Amino acid sequence: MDRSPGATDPALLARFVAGDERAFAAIFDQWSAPVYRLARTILQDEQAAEEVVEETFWQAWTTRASFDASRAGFAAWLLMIARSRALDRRRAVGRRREAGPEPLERMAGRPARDAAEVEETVRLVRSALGELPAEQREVIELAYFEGLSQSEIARRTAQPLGTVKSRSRMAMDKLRDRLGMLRGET
Amino acid sequence: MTPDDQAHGPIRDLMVAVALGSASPGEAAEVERHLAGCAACRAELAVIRDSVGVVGLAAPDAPVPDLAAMRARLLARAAGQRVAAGREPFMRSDTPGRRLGPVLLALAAAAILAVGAGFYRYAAAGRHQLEARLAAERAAAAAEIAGLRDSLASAGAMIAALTGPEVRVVTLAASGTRRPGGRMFWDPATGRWTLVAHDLPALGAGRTYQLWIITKGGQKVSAGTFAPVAGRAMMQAAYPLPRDALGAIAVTEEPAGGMPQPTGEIIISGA
Repeated sequence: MDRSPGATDPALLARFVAGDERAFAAIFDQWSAPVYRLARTILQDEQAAEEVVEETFWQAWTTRASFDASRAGFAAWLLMIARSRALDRRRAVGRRREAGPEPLERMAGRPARDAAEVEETVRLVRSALGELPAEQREVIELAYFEGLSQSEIARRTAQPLGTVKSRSRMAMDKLRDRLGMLRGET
Repeated sequence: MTPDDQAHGPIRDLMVAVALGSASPGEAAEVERHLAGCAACRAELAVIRDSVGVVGLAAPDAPVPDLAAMRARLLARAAGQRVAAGREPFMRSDTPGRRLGPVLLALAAAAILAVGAGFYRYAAAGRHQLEARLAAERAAAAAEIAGLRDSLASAGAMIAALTGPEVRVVTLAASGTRRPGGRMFWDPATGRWTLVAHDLPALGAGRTYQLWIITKGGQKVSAGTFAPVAGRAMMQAAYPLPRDALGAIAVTEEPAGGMPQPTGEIIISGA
């Protein structure tokens, strides 16, 4: 059983890892929209976000042999490639946004074409994150979308490092439980 | 399977940072050391990686641009990589294109040999002169490699246009006993059309062949004009069309410059 939330069909994944270009195309169709939105959120730049999408899928294709389902699910693996590339690019251009990511409440559903299942997972992850207390969600968002370390988050939020660590852990425990439910665990 | 907090709590506090790549080298090493002997924490980190990784799905919504061209580029690169690696033929053996990849690689090898021979000839010259010539050779080689790379990329794009996962092939034939024929490769995902035709009759002065995409609704869309060389022709066109909207493909003979609607004889057609 693939234990990742938003699991891509294991047979499709196996074909992708084996080098099947049709599987590559299918995975692009499923995941390009969420990868674009992630890159755009980190970079706040549509053109740069598109470039990161292309880099992400090419990196995923050329390093597919390194995908290890026992270390992380496919969605997490792919999104972390995108996050890493977007954060690298952001650091490279030295851009620092004053404001954090857009408030999640402003999100409106816009299903990606031919990727309804992925969009359902998107909805569930947003819901899980949205249920966190604001201070816990902030810690996770600053770490994920802005790439801040816990010390940097402590400085940004004017909270003691210990508080940041405990919020981070409490948030992760809740996300883990909530997304565990999505995985079919009890 | 949550590890006991007493024994593993400090490590677990670091796992989120490790999963996000924001742990310090010392913290990462500490976690690695612990994981080496703790299967429970390894499993825990995998779950945390999953949970952290998918947080990106909660990125705020935004209009997603049309990524079809990017998709085509990626598939072309993948196909080009496959061909360059010689993993498998990309066309059937009865098509001349099969040898294109190896030919380009052979050209690259020849270019490198030629540059090498050039270097040897200049070895006895004075140092400054040699350096200047080496620089010139290097620039020429770089230009040649860039040209070969472009050729390879364009070959990759052509391969993708012909072998993409969703490409449909329409066979075109002449009515009666005439010989001309052809194939249309249509990739609905990218809207690219590639016509390969053979045994086309030579055109008279002031005449041209014109390719038509005919929709199921009967709309006749000109996809461009072309002239054959020794009866053969290949042309590409871009025209987005829904997957289920193609009625037929036809080539007509028209006055030079083409016509807004077909007026001449249908040379080949298919559906």
